Amino acid sequence: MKNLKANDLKSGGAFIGVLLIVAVVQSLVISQVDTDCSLDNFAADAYNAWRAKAKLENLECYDAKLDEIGLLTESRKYARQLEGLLAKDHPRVGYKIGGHTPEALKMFRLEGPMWATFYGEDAFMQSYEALQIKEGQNFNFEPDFLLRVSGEGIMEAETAEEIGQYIDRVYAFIEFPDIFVNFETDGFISPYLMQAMNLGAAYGWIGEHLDAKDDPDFMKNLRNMTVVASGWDGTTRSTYHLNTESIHMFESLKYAIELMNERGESLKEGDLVSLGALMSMDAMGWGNPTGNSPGRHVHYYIGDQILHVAAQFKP
Amino acid sequence: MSFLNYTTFSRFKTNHLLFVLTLALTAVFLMAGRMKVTANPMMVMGFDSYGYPLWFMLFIGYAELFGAISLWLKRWALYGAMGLSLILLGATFTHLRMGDPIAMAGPAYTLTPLMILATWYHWSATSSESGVSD
Repeated sequence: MKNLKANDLKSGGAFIGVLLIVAVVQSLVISQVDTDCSLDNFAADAYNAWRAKAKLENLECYDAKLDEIGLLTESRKYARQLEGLLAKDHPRVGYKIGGHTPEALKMFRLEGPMWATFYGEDAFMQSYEALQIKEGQNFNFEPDFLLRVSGEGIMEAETAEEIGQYIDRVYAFIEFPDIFVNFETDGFISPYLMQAMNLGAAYGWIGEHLDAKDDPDFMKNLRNMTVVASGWDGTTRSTYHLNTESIHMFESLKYAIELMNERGESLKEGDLVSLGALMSMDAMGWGNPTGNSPGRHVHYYIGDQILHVAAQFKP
Repeated sequence: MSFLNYTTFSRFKTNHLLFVLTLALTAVFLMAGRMKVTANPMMVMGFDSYGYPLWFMLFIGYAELFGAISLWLKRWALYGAMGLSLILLGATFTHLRMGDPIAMAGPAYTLTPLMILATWYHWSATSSESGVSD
């Protein structure tokens, strides 16, 4: 211990004390948030942002208040209020599970899955259809997967096999949640605000599909599906293997059943439920994709079938 | 006295591995420290998810920045290396406690033994420079 000199330790200790004070003061300054907003106005502000494709007003204030509550169930109540406004003028076209596996929930420190509902005549586009991007609009590119429900009996199903009896078709699907936030300048928002904003559910591209009746090993092949996301020039961005997930995607629909029960609603024949994002962690990115390329491709390798979907956007 | 006498360059002359380690660790900690003290959104989210307060993240960031600089100053290199080792051991413990996947925890697991090695080198160098035998 003679290597450590008493004077140096005193000086070092004092310096560390100074760093601590600086850190505490800086954190107090950063944490200054305008708390002059009411969650009673949240749905209206979120609806206005959705319509204008703009940043949510009072974003930081709402983020702080919802984070303080810290319950996804409470956030979903605000999402339902937002949905009430969306549903007045726009048809409901699908659903989305955010955090569809136990490991995804653990990764993002969620106490449970998140849920969203798609509204809008233009929400779901066909493959290659070009989406007009507004200056400054922010998206998160997500190679998802769409499952079509074949009957209300799914609400009574408990196991993956039972649930699978009520999935008659799957689609290649790219989702573009419109988050209304610039993560580089506004910072990340809490999952509680994300949930209250209906997960930014706004757009998706539906690609090729596979019917259950056409694949005798439908359930097994979906378990072993590989999803490859690539840029417009074909450069692979992400390769994701579904068999690394701890549960079958049909089992993920148990979250959908629970959340629909929470709403007092039921999944019905023809309903579309999105799962994802099916991409590797290092490929998850945020921001406006048009800065990099005019579009994205996703290929889904299911047994000896390949489903494809392409998203295009124009500034 | 030449400025170089205040630096750890004399140690690098007899220990090239220490030079390589110092270069790499300096780069890593300058980058990581900068992200913390500028409250990078990813960092803020990460520390928050671990249950650590914002001031703690900022403090670790400043410690990393000054720790990286200290690795080049003979008088402070050992203290800086010990401090950075402590930070990395804390990071390793946090990742293990949270059960983080290797993609997230890998850097901490890799850097910890390297930092401990650099600390040992500075300890040995300090001992021989001051003629201390323990």
